[in-house]
Amino acid sequence: MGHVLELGRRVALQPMDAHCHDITVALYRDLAPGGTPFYAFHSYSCHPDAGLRLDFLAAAACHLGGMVASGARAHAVAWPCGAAHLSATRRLFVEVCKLAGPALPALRPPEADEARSGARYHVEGLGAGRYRLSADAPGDMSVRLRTIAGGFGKLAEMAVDEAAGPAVAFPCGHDHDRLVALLLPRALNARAAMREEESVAGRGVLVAPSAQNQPN
Amino acid sequence: MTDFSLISNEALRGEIEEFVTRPAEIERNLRVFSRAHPRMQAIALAVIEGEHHLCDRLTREALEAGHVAIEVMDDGLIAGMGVVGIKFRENFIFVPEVLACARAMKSGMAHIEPILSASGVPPAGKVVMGTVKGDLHDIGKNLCIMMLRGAGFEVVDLGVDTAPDAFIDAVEESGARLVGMSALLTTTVPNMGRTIEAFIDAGLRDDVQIMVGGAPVTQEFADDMGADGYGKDALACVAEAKRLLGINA
Amino acid sequence: MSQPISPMTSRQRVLAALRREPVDRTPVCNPTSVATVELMDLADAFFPEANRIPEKMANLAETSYTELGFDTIMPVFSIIQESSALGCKIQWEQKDNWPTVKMREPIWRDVEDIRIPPDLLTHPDTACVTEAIRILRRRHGDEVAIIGKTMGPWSLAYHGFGVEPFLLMALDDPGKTMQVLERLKEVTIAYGLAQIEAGADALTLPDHATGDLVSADYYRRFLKELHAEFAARLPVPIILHICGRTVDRMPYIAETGMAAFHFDSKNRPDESMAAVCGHCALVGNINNPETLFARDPEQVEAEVLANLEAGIHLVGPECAIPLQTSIENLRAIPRAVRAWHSAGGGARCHHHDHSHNNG
Repeated sequence: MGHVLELGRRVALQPMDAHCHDITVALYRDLAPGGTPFYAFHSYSCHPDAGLRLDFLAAAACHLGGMVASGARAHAVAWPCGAAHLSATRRLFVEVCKLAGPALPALRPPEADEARSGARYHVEGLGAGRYRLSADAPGDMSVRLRTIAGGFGKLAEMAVDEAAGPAVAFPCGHDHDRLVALLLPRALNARAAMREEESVAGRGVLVAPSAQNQPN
Repeated sequence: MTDFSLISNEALRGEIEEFVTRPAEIERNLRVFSRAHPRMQAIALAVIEGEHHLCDRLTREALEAGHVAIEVMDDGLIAGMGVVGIKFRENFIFVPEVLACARAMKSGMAHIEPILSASGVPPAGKVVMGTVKGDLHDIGKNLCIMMLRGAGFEVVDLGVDTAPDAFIDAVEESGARLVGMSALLTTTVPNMGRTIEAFIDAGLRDDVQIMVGGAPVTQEFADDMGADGYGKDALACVAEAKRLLGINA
Repeated sequence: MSQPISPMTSRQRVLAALRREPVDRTPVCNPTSVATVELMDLADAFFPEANRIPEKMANLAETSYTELGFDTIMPVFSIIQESSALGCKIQWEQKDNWPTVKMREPIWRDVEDIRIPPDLLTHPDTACVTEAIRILRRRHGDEVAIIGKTMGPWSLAYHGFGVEPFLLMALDDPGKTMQVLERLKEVTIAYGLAQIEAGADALTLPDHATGDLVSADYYRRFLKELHAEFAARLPVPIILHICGRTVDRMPYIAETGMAAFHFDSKNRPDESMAAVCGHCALVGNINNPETLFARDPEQVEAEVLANLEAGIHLVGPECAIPLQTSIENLRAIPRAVRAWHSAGGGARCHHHDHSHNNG
């Protein structure tokens, strides 16, 4: 039996990898000697296929998300800009764990279709980590585009500039084209920010019986 | 000045006086019960006291005497269950007592439901309810369903251990616009998020409102997983259902 | 002035704390489960097999001592072993979930239906636990406290009758309910004794009369005397476990003679200490869903400190931890306990405890 390792902070987990004998795969965040954050795919599984699976996942994170291999540790990857991009990395982890491998999938184009509205959305790089959102659709899509920009904000902690199209920007000031293309279909549905506002408004209306005597 | 004497049934009046303390709730109960027929007051009291044989008989007699089903349901069964919910919330009664009240209400509803379904009264809304994958607990979900039905909702009960696809199939088959998910284990709470993801992947997320609840679920968890609503208990579940479907309480 | 305490083994530390005697440092205890999916990979022992095969059960359980630095090993991860032997239908699940009794398919409807099968202690799912305890005792000798688990009659009744039917029975027919509990208490005793005979140092006794479901008066009427009987008849320290808000029934629990009560984070450590009034030890109460599962080691350490400052006798998670809990959050518990004692917190703790014993 192996032993527990000091791997930094676990930031994401796939408890049962359906593509590799139900092993558990975790993503750990740590700092390289220069203080640059990196992420390492790790499994405590002793299954002989586990290492190959981790190779694939790290490669897929580089391919689909634009991360780069880090020499800091086995199966470690980092953002070329040196930033942490924690939320985006977590999302990327979820996306690569869905892949069966071993072949890497084709890259996604910077556009996505929405069946219900019939719209096609685009992200266009403006440089320095900024991206403009636009839609091919009849009618005014400005509200929908702002919602999608909010989705990028939630998924990847991007700043939203509603006046510019709208546009979204990575705080690191660097481009992450592959990541943006990967996140676009998810951003169409990420309405968490709006929901959070609603739920805060609904807080404190009723208290569960089991919590009635709980001191505040 | 609150005039409890407007409620003719003495025992029912005692229940309201003793257990209902919030001014808005006192006012609402006075309004409902002061205009309710004595038979309805007796039915409400049978629900509050968890007397299912009595509730069964009183409901049957009221219908035979010519009272319409809606009146018996609203002024008797549902009004009584409202008081039960308040007593539960305020820790005057606990789950066994609520279960007994629910049993009493169910015995009355057994006479009401065939009449209502035959007469085509529109339900308040349609809700799909289930305990998530991996979780076999149904007590909380059942309390919510009972309260929702009491409030006039039509409920599709998927039971326990419900896979994401079963929620999606039920929404597509029933046309419900609201989904309620329950979990009683900390380990199965993440399956709520997975079910929401499945709605996104199926392209149905914008078609439904999703509310979540259960002992380990918090507002923070609900926000993180992207639920539209969160209910701490069965009363809150009904309030959330009404809010999400835009129904005035 | 109290004398410095000589260094103790984990087992000595846990047993002393359960007796509310002075300890070299507060023990870190898991009366329920600290199994996680990552530890399953590490030990090559996965759910559901780790709930059914003694060797696997032992391998996964001992990681709490060897890898996490807890002072206890608890091999009974689930709450269904004896219910399986009683004939309940079990959903065994897979790696990432707990086995559960299918309470929608109850096996009993009335008190006469309760039959304690002759193979209660030799059934594979009960014998698995006793065999795992023997394996662990052989491997670890007297170094670490091995805790077993025997379910109380209230919980067994939930499993056999279903929660709703049993709660309605408690309301409709208290006399029959007492007969049910009296009959089922023999299962609790027999399975507890079997684990003690196999080498368990202490027993967790979960009996889910939680504040989320029933009032404190239910506890007093139905369970207090039975729990006192368990404390008297089972010759090792018993750790009663009840989830949820329980501070209203802690004064009753404290009168049962149970060595300890494992309490939920819905109850503050300081109010819980006041409620038991020095009559039993407290084990707890790091929050599972919001802290251990969802936050970082710093928040875990903060909760550990709140428990230590309140004088809680054994520190650990409030209940069986989510299987996806991170290893670094679990390791933060013993680390924070050691740091607190290194910083002199232990002296305050001993003083506090001592005053309770004498007062």
